[in-house]
Amino acid sequence: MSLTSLFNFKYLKENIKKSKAIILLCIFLVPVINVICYLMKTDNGESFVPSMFEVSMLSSLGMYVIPLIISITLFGFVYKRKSSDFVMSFPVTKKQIFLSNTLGGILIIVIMNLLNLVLILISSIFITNVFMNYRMLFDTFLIWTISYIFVFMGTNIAVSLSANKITTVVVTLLVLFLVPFVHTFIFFDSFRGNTPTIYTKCESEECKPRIYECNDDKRCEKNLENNIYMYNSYIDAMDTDYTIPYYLIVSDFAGIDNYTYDTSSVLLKMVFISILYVIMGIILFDRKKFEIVGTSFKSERVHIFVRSLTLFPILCICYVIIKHIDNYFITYLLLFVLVFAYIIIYDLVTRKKIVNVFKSLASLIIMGIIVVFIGEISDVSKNEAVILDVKDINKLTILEDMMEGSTYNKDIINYVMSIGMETGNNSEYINGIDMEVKVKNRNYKFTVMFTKQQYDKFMNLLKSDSTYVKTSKINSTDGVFAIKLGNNLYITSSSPLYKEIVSRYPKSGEFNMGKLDTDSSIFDVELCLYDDFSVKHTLFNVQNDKELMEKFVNYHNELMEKALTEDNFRIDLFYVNTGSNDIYYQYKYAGEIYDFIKKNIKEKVNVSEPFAYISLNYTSDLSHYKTAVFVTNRVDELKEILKKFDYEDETFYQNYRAYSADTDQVM
Amino acid sequence: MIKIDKLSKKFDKENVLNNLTFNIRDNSIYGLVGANGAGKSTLLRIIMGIFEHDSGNITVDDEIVSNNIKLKQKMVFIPDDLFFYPGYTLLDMGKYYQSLYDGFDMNYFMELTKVFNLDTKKKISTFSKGMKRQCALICAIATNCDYMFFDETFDGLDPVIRNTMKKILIKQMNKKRTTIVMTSHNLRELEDICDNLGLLYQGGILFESEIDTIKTNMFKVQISLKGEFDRDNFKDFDLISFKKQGSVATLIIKDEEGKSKKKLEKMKPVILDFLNLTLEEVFIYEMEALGYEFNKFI
Repeated sequence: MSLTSLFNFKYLKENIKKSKAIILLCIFLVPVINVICYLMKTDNGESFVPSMFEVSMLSSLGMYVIPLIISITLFGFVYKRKSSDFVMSFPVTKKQIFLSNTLGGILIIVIMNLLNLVLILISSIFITNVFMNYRMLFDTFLIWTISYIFVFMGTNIAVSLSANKITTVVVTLLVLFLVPFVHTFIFFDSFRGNTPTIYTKCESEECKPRIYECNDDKRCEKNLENNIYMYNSYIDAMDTDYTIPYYLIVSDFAGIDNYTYDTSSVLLKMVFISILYVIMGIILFDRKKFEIVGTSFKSERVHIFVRSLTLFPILCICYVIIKHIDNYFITYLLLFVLVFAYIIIYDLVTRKKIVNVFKSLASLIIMGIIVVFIGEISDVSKNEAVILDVKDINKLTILEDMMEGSTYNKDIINYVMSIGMETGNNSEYINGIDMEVKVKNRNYKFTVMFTKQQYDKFMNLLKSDSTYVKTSKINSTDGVFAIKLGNNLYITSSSPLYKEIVSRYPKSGEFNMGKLDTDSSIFDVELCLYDDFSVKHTLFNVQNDKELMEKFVNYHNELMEKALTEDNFRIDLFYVNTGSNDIYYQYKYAGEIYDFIKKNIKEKVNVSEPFAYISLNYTSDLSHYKTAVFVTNRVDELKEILKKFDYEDETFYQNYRAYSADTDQVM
Repeated sequence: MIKIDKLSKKFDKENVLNNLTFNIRDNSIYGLVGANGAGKSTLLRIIMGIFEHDSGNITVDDEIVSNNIKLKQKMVFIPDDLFFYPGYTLLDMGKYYQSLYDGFDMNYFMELTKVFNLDTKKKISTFSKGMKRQCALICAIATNCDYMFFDETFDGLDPVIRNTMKKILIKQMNKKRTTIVMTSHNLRELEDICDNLGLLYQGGILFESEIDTIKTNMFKVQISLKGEFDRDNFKDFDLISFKKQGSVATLIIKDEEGKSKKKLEKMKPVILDFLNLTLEEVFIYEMEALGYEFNKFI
């Protein structure tokens, strides 16, 4: 089989040429808006590490629209008698038309996403306050290209089946979403509003809770005799790995979130399904009847069948509503009227006439029975309480941002489960960590609340577990592309300090869970590394490494000295840390602080002695709203100056904190 | 040669073509006439492989058209409802055809646009209905295909352009040995160009013949004899029609051997005029002879 028997490049060229305006719009619209959003994000001068979302803000929305437009444009001739006569009379086979248009669509999608990549890349070169991981940029290109192609292939199948544009959209939605929706309906209790009770069983001493009170609850006491404990916050989770177009919808709107979403396998799955779609598309398009154009389907039976499929998700939602409300007759009536109105509107839109009412009613009843049957079958299996036996738990996964990783260590598993079962005093808890355990091929998610003591012990256990250390990469510097210092200062690999930090880690500092507080210390370090389709952050503090601390101080003071020489240097806002709390000041006190910094800037700082630091935001002819830090041993002298200032009111302080937390968020 | 054998096609439950059998010989112009809904357009679409037939066989040069690109390179089709890409000029359309037909002759195309005085750089959407038809025909003719299929060929063309187009089509047929199949619901449009005519009725060919044969085998006579006379006086003739008004009768006589004229002269008539039959009249009388009322068909 030669290439020319499969493709007709002349036809493709002409087909693209005749729709060049809309195709160019498809190619440019998303990348241009993406880059505008990206530039707006960088415009405030704040340094940041962009996430995948920030370099492709409109791409997720575009994924549902652009491939559909491309497909309908390239195959636009199938919707009208005269255009289908025109195209089909040419010496091109249906197979060639389908494959050529498929190839053309893929090319358009690749060009569009490549353009997005190039525009962001060019912008990043010229914008100095962005620290971009180029592998992430490529992965963004890969994810969206595969996702767009996947939707495009689904639409091509719809084009092969339908004879008008509205039906194409409907069939596309069915092709892409019906199967995963059925899966969601059957397997996700949360979707159906069910919350099955999940108990934990623990027979060994290692996993038993320190404190567990039944408060005269007889059932609880009986369970306790059987070593069964209540833990309310379990969620029965699934390794769904839905395709990206469906996952974005269910995670955003239906609240079904899968923390262990395996992007690599999802991409492979989408590539595989796309290939299947192409094969199906060729067969269907080759058999497509061009006698019927403009209406939904040639056969009324097929029309009713497809309409019934579209009814499935609607009836599922009706089922959930009916299941969770009181049995008001008026509700049933209202839902029935709404569903029937949908059927009539669907017929009018897709077929321009109403199909036999009795046939419609029959199809509605059949679909209703199917939905109730599926719903009841899956409800029945979920109504029984689930008992998780701790001895069956072989894997524990930490889901918390910045410390994602897994362990098979039984000591850690037992410890975490014992804490999770405790009925302790809520006021002692300092932190909650999201986790997931796998039991007999099902996943259960929960949040464990820790007291300070428990938290420290848990951290130590984790740090000593080689599997966790390896999977979480908390001790690794592989893939580090930027380092964020306290006070929102970023350094890249060109900086000598960067090399120092990377070479000394993890000996230099201690892994520190939680969000980096930009105000607390100039010795906080956040390693930004890219792995497995996301930017990860490892936090630690270098206060145990005096040599590195000195290098930090020198680095900051050198930057400050340089900043002072810039023309029209002007302090906007600053805060001073003299060893305890940070105190914020506005620019009206800046003059004396400026003089103090200028006077002492060249002085060597000894980090073994008490020190204070001033962090300020400044502008100059060269810089716009930049941060600089000055560290000094002249703590007493600084305190004397501060005494002259009025302490800023609490509102301003809180506002500033809220603002810095907001601007500091990265993926 | 186009061979159609027991071809049937249904739309829903309605038979559009029913056991249709006939052949179209090479290097000829075949006219297909029939009332609206007779199945002319459907037949052309089936021949072109746009529609699929339900049963029967259809071959062009002894090959099946469907998915046969080599064969489709030799075939071009202009439907009754014309289509041009939005914003395309005539030159754009010419280039489009050129890219898909190996035999497309751009020089001939440009020559034809000059003959019809069409602006190649003007958007086709601004053209009149007749001019659009000219554009489509020019594009098709310039492909130099062996088989050309035109549905409602001259629809919208004024008489001058129609004649010019007919001359070009005849020239094309003679020069390139092209086979042209054209449909119309108007018999007069086809009579001076077609070699063969077929009348399509209820999905079948009701009547088919070569135009020259039809015209020469049948003639119309106005005659008056001395004294009273009626149909019986002409028993020896193959009389298709007899109408008498006053003392003058109008006869339609079928005569394949050419002896009827002499026989009429021997009857020593008072008036004897031989008149030419139009193709429509030939069809009317043939249909009447078969027991059909012609007005129902066209």
